[in-house]
Amino acid sequence: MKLLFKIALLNLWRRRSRSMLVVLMIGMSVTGLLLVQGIYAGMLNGIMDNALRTDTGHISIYHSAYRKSKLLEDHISDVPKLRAYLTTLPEVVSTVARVRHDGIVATAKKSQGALIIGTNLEEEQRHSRLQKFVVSGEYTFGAHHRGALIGAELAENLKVRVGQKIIITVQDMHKEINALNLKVEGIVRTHDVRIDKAGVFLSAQKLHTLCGLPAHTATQISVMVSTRDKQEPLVTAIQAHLDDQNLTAYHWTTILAMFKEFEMIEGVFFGFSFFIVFVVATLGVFGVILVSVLERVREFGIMLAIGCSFARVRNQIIIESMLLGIIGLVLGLSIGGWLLWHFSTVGIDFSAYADALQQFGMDPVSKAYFKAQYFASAATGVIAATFFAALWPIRVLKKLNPIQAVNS
Amino acid sequence: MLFKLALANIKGNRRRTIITTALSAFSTMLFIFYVGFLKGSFVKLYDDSLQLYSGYIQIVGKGYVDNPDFEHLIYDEAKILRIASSHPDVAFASARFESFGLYATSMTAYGAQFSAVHPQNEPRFTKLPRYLDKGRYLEAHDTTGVVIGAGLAERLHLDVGQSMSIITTGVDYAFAADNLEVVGIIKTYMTELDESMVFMNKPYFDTLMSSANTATHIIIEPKEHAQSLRIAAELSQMLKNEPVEVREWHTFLSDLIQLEQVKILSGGTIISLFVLLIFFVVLIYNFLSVQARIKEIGVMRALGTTPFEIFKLFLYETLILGGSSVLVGGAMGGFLIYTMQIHPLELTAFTEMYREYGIIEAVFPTQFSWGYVAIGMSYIFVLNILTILYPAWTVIRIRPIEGIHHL
Repeated sequence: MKLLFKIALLNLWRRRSRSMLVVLMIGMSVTGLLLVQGIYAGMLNGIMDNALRTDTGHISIYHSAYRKSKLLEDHISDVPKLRAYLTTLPEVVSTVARVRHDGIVATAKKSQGALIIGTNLEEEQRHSRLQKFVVSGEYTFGAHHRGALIGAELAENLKVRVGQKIIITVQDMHKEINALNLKVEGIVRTHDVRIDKAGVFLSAQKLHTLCGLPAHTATQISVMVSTRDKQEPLVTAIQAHLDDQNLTAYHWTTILAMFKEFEMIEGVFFGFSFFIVFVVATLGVFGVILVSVLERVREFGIMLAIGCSFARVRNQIIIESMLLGIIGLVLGLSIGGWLLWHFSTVGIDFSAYADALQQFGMDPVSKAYFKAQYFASAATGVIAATFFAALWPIRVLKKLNPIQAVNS
Repeated sequence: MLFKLALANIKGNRRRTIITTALSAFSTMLFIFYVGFLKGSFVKLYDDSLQLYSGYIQIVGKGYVDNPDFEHLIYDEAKILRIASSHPDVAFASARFESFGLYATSMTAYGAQFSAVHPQNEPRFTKLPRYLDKGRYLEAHDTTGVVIGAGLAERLHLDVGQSMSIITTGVDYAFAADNLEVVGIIKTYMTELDESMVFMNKPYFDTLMSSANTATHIIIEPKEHAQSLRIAAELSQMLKNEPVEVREWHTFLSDLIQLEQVKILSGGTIISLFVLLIFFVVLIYNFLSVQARIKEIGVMRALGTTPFEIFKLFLYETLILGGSSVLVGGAMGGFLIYTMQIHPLELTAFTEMYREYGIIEAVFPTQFSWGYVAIGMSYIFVLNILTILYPAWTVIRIRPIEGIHHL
């Protein structure tokens, strides 16, 4: 085997130029595949992460009728007891209880519909890292909790700045219309379209009072979990605990069905890209190996004539082909891996297209996703391509008679 | 003679000929398809967005865009309509009044936008009436009858024939309230529209809001959509003495236009990766083909053929191969985008996702243009020419004796 390996290396070195072309081709395609996968997955994960953290979390718990009715009467009671149970689960990273209600936000000159969210800022920071989205002002509800954080586009639409006043109006549990005067303490840009366009965050206690909700209630409990694998079984386990309480636990894919479609598109797109690259790379390697075999027919004929088995000749050709692939793979994984790591830490700045990206809930600076699976699938693809590329030339060689080959 | 030799070489090396021709044709077709698909899907996106509600050209009160309040309205609606309608390329013009109100039923209350329209005019330039899910669209004689979005109907627990109250502020800043009856429910599957729109008859609404002869928007339907920019500029001139401004759709769809640029950038990068990979493979096959003829080239050089003539030989081969492959690819790509313009791609499995981002139907037509075909063919043809440069250089610089003795 060592000898075969040495012969293969020498043969590749003998025709350095074309070997280098193939190595460059494989390297370039592996680099491209890694970057395309990592950058696209990074953008998609960014959108999903923004939506999950500020909205559903990995798991959302609601009153069983709430998602359809959106009525305050359909709320979660005894929130502290439920959250105490959730924190006993090892997979649960954080939880937050929110009251979400529709209302109107108004200034002296304009009013519009608002998504009013009552929450605790410390818990919200642990759960959704909301503070990092503050673009103006402070991350606080101010003295006596008389302040609010509002979405950036909402602020722009209402023409309000930090320090100015807004009035929120809601219909409470008893069908009464109540209003509250709030000072804008901060403006947030979460890249969640609904929150940026209409979100008003205020103290959970204030919203409870405004909506006439009893203490220790909420309309939603959002749960973040440590890994993707544990999510669906956890939903089942939590639901078993909730069955007698008229509450329902939802996995985020149920609520945000469009992300599942995103993932489907991602899968189809990568499958297609992988297939094209695989076929083209196989063709490239095939051409080189076939020419390499045909120009050494006499040499192979002599080897076969003096007693070398066809299996050894076959293995030599396969080793040559795969050596090309492995060298190209190492080159591609090194360059592609470095670039991917760089983009996963520094990110890619798409600020020039911020307006468009915000419509999709994307951050202007997008970080690529660095995943070992990309390297494994690239390696598998290249090794498979170089293996298959050698099969036809081997078949051509097998059909030749050794004596004919020696005399050719 | 060199040309004949090139043809003979192409026929003689069938494997290289078939593979490089197939790859070049495929990449030509892929490139043309990408450009046609991108353009077509965005043209549809723009048209769907504009024809759904906003229209291609809008006239608003001066300063209304920055301060959308009652201080910046169109105060002489009839006069502005008359001037705008006098433009020869304006098909139609109609006024709207948009504002905000609180809607209440016995169960709940919700704030949402309303749009007071002229029901007989709207169907001429918006597709919203086609998305009627229940009941009927507004009619000119309607008073308190309204059409609401399906999401809003669900929030307020309303159905056709049921009533709700509206509380709003009139143009004179006095409170205005009335009882409204739902005559129709619209379902576009776009959250922003379905959950927040109420349509009412403007002539009746004017009596409620004290907004007679006043509008927030005048929507202009041009005879040719492609001429919107020119028509908007000419309308601006005609209305320069009026306290209004004319806006063309590139202004209020700037997000989508930017999105198209992002798509061009990202999609173009991916397509370029594929094309570059194919370019490399073609380069390899050209290299192999040229290297296999070093001995022959050595003999030709020894007989007096100049390096330039050798280069011309390779160039002829590439021109023939490249030219025929881009012709085939151009024909295939052109046929594909022409066919898909008529029979668009339907991605109904992803409807939910697209609706979330304002695309009602997951249907994507391509846009056929001879320009796209020409660009695709030229790009790949030039790449084909480039693939022969390095192989030709490696062979031309070899001395004739070295070539003859090459193993």
